[in-house]
Amino acid sequence: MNASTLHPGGTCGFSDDAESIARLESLQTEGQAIPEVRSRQSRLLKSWNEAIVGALAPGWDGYEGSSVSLPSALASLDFLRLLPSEVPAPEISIDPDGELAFDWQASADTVFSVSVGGNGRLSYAGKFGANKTHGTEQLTPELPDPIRSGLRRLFGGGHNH
Amino acid sequence: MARPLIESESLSRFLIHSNAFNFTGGFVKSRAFMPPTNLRLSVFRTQDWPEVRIWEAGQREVAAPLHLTLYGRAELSVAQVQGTGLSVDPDEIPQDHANIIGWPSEKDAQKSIAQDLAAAARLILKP
Repeated sequence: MNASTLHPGGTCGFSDDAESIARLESLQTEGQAIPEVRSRQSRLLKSWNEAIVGALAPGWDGYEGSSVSLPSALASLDFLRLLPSEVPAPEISIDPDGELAFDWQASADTVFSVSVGGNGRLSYAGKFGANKTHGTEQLTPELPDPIRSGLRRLFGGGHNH
Repeated sequence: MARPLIESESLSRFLIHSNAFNFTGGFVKSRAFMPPTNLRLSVFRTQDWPEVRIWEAGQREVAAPLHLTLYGRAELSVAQVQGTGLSVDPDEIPQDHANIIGWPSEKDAQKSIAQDLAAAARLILKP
């Protein structure tokens, strides 16, 4: 991914931000360092990029959705890096308020989702049959326990990072 | 003036994004029910409508004005909406249109309710 892909025709809602672009390019370089990481990171970054490009203009969703939030997009990269490698890649989309959302949905009533706010707020919700959970956490260098727990309920395993 | 709501009547949320449902699994995804920033989620009151009328309305009132594809609809009842603590507010703009209202302001709570609505909804793909 090149940072220029985030600025098609200069029409996107992002402001130019050298530091932000440098971070994006750094992530790309890091992802290419190790073959198995490159593959997973590349897939995630491709999905991330596609979700963002599809939501650059206000009203992108047909329902007055806000254009994608740059702070949310950047914070979401930090969130992506925290995901344990054994967790399947999430579906990445944009919420109506412009935040990036990461969804893992196995069936109609088995789902876990995290939305990343520009301030690093992680809003999560999970439905595991009749059981539910939801809450907020702040983005930290470690994956917050409630989110780790939600992913574990969905996929099992230890998910030690 | 809108006709009175009946708990058992059907509501349709038209699906105009391919990532709002799972085709192979046959279910609606929770993102189909994430509320817009004004917290008024658009639905149509389609009880007893012939199928052809439902699809025509979805195409005319939702998909065509936005130049998007109408893939299908998520159908659920007024009672199922009310069971999540939300309400249905008919506004008749256009005819038989309503909004699902009463959403909490907290994002995580919105997501949880959207998951409940999606789990309750029936996916009906456009023929």
